[in-house]
Amino acid sequence: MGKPISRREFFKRSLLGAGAVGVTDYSYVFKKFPPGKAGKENVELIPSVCEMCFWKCGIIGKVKDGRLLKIEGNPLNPHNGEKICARGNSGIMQLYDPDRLKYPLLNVGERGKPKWKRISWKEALDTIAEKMKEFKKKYGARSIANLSHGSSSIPMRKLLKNFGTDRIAHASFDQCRGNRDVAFELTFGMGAGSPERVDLINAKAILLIGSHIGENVHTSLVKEFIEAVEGRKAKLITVDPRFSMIAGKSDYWLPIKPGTDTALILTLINYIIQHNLYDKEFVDKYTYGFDKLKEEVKNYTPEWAEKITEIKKEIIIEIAELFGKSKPAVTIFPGRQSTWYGNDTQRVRALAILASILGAVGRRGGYFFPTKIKLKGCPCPNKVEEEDYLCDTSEYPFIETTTECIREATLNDEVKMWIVYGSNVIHNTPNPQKTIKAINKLDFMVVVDIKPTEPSLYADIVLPEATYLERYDIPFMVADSRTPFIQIRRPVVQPLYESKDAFYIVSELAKRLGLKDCFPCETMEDYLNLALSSLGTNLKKVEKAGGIYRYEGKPFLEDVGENYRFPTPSGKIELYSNKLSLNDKDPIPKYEPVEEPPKGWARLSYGRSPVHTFSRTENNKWLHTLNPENDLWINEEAAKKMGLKDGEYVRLKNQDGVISDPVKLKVTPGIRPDMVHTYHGFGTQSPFLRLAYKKGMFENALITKIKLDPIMGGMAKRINFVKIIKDGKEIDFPVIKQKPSGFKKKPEKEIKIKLTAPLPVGGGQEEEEGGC
Amino acid sequence: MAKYGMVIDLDRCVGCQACMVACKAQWQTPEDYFRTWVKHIGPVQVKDEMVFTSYVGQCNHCDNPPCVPACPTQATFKDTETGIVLVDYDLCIGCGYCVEACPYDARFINPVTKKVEKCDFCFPRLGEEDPACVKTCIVSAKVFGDLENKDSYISKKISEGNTYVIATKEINPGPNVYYKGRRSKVEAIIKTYPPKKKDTLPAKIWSNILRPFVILGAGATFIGSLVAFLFQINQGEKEGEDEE
Repeated sequence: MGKPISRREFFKRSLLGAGAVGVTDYSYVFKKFPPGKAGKENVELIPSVCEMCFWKCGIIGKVKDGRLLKIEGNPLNPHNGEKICARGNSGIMQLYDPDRLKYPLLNVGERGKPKWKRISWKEALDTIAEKMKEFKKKYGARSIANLSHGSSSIPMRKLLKNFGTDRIAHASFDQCRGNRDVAFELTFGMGAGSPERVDLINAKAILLIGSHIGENVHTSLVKEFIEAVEGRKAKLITVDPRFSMIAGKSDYWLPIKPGTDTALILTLINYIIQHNLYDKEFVDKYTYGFDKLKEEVKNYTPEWAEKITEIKKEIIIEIAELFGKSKPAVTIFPGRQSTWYGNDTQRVRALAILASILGAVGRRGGYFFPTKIKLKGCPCPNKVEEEDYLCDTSEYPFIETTTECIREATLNDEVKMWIVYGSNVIHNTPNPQKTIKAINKLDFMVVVDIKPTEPSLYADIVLPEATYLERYDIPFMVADSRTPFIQIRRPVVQPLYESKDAFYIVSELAKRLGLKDCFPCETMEDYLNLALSSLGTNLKKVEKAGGIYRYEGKPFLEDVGENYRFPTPSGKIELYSNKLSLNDKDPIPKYEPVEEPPKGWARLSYGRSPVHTFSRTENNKWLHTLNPENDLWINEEAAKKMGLKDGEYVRLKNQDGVISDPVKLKVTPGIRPDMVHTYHGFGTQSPFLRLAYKKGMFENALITKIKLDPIMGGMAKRINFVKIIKDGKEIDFPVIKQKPSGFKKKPEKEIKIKLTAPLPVGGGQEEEEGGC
Repeated sequence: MAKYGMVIDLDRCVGCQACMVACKAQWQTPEDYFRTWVKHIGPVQVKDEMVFTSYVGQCNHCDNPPCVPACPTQATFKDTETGIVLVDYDLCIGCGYCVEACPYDARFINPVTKKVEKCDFCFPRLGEEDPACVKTCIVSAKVFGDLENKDSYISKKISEGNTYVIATKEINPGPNVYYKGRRSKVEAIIKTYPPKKKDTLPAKIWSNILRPFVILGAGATFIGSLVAFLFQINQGEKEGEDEE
């Protein structure tokens, strides 16, 4: 017998010979690198900031010979640390997506059916600047509007304000969390934050209304949420007509009747006040209008709420008692996407009020305060003479310019040119049919994006932006944190093709427009150095320190001082809002019923897939493989009565006669029978996104009815109703009466085991006592 | 001697699939192939409980791995130092019998390399970093460690109780990936994705009739090391049995 070879030695040897394992059918993407070596040997580690969604997780790019091999979490980031989600892990496939926009393009064909001609950056920017000047001269600067989303669109907004137009709408305001932030502004004098400023880790009880945390993956939030609920055993109450992933981890699941959330919240407020479960000392010291609140909500009893919400009154009482017992360590989660039924600002106001009477503000386990610091930056002063939001502020007193107002003004010929920046207005704004109509009226349209999304099909000029892995951005101040910090996004690799970053696009336009005081810095590095100099540091130092600059936070009342004055007119938390009453709006939220689906129809609800961000990631090869299409959740009992089976494809028809693409049914007991639910963002209509093209259902096309929030003009979407079409025949939804319900997690028997003994085996058989 | 294993906490898991992608990025598996998986189950009624969970799975690195005897070339073996089931890519001929033998469908033939692939607990990173899936798991639902070390975090997690393996009375190859969480979730997994009873006939044919020929055919250059290696495998298996 020869010298024995250790198995590991043998394995190592054989591994060396197995280089071929690294060759795959997407080798056009990577240069080969040996397995297991992603992140070793001559690999450069470059800290940056993710933008697969807008949560801004810290990442590290592992780069070899100028190619990105892998993305991991940045352990120095106080929020996500080394954790990143499926999308963050897949950033590499966005960077190397063969369908990316590569060069500036001029549409020489029709709107919507483009024939693209490759042009130079010079020609593209010259043309855009010419058009801007022409429109300003002919119709005024305000004939140019901007629809944008994402951090890289900020320089463009500044440029446009410098140029003289404030026709700027953000999808994040009117389609997402504007009403939530207005409600928090009115109550506390500050928005709810992004990240939401919730001290989950110290909470004893958490209320989640209409948020599907976990399916909606914001890494650090999910991380802390699960630690709070599973690690520290905070009691979780999830209110959702659908049994979401997080509902499955909840102590209470309340399958509420859609549209009645405000009734539930006001009832909790009333019960807590009536039974002296509120934090009297806190209310006396920090709130305004308690007596009026008490009077206003007194009729919202559990008995009443049971009829409205279809939640058992006993459960409502139990939860109110639980909150009283747990106060002030109660997190009333503010929610995020909140444009639901058309009176949503008041619903979020009710949440804010509930948190306030529990004293859960500026206290551990409740909401905490942001800590902002001042940063200089490369200037671009706002030269808009007088603010004009374009929208009717007499009707919607707290409105900002919304997509809807711009769309209307375009149809009325007031707006002639759109610059769409990183925002898929056809997917994110309800009634895309109307959006397309407006676009077709435009004289000129520019789209800046990384991919040929639907809006780019309608653009006259398309500019290819560098992805987040190829560019600097303005510094990100994460002030909504207990451990605040500044984070720098820097290029992990050089921009591919002819893509350029926002700073290039905007400063080149500024030059051509003669806007000398807008972004006078030479480069983005100069911009960042200027900003960081206000902290006595510079880009090089911060990059060396892992791309993160931390500073001290003052999150709680004990940090800001017990005599803290809230930045509201009264200096207190405004349970009663004078601002609202002056504008003829209810100063204290009231319950208003929302429109119910007529007989035979079901309400259409939408949400997020854990592996996709809106309509931005469906063409990402890895994410596409994980979740190529959306399905339609439908109640088991309803499906049975309708003769529908799990997995079969149907179409939907909405109240305005719009018929959807085919969608796969997911039949489950985990959803109420009066609604259906699907993931948002699928079914792209752009044939240039070859993987995602027409995969799944374009659900936004079914959202043709909109209700504007009376306070801030947000566009409510969950007021659209659908029927099923199968084999060309319309099928009515059956009427299935719901008994009041509410589910409580049953305690589970602890099964103790010894490590050396065989573990309990699944498969339904009972384990033996003690043995297992 | 170490025995590496994993605990997957189903109560923590939100089914976000970050682990699948981190693994894919690390190992560059072809488009539709993953070494690990997250399969969503439900919402479905399990007895009187509604369940919406994920089947987070991968190679179980079993105590008695059915893939090992199925392999005609001894390419698949259980490493005695770590307990990890490994594949020697030089020896693998891509016949797919191990794929057939695995009750968990944890293996696949890489269509590009024509070799078998599966989770190896990120063996080349061992001792330096946690496996890629564990490192990225946003809710720390995956715990990796040495089961033999009674002070390890994984041993502590297991001894807390309510821990299961995906196995049945009939099919229990001794998996070393453990599942923690509400029993209803594990029951839903076993009901939806039961470990499969495999037809072992091809494996028997290989091991009893064809194997000697294949080994001879594997090439003279290998034979020296193979003899030494096979000897050790046999030794190792015996040692392994002694330990248990």
